[in-house]
Amino acid sequence: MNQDDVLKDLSHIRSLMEKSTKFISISGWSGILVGVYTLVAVSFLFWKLKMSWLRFGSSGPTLVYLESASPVRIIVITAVLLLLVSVITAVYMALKKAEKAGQSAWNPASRILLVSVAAPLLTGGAVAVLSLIKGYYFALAPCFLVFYGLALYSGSRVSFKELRVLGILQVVLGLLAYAYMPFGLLFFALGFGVLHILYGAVIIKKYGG
Amino acid sequence: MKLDLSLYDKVLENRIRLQIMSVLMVNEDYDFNSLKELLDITDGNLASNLKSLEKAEYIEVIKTFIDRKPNTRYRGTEKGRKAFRDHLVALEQLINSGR
Repeated sequence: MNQDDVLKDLSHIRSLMEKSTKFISISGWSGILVGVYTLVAVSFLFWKLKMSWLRFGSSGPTLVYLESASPVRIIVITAVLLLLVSVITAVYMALKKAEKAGQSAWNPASRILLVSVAAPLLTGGAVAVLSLIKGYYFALAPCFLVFYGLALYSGSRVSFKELRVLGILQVVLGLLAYAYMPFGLLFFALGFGVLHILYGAVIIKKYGG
Repeated sequence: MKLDLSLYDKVLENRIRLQIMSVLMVNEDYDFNSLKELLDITDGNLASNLKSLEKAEYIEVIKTFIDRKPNTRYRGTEKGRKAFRDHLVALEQLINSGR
């Protein structure tokens, strides 16, 4: 056994250790698409609910609905549709990316990914439903950002390290959205929209697609 | 520099076995089909090398059922982990000796 062989073996081992523990089939393009969907959805809500951007009242600036029969229903339907389309897009693109790389998307790393994002997402979903029932509609966007960010953070253990940064930023935006609650939708557009697009661009540039 | 070959492991001299151990070093356990796909080798090749690792007590076999279908997973033992680390040290020495 000569030294070149040993070096080749070692680099192969390294890539195996990496490949077997990381789910790298998350597509950068799906980040961009989800970001665009979000901006479209938020614009639609602003248009449909005829929200004015700012209104200065006695309690400071707030976002208000000028006129709408049932803003809650429209918001919930739009949100559910957005999430559904986003998840379908992300899964579809991941499957395609894995196929292109000649790998299976369903491997031990992706199973760990699913398990680690499940807890924060399910908790967040429960908090969102409770907020809806209790009528804390403004809490929806901040709650979504915080728990989604936590899910990304815990999932980043088995994926790109950029995912961790994205998760932390989502949590920070979510907390800001809690602090400035009437602007929740704007923070949501920033987090789920703009940040996803930036993240997608970084992944495409760095890892190619 | 004198080479200390006491750390060099005959079982791990085989490339496939070294690769299997490397996957089991960084994962709690790994199932047969995922290993096969990752290493891109045939059933028979993988099975025989797993058998050797099992005989050396470097790995342990966990047999479970998922939806009544057998699912065989493998886990690195403490002995196997030590052998892997030692073997890497030996390889490192081998490389350094030539410089």
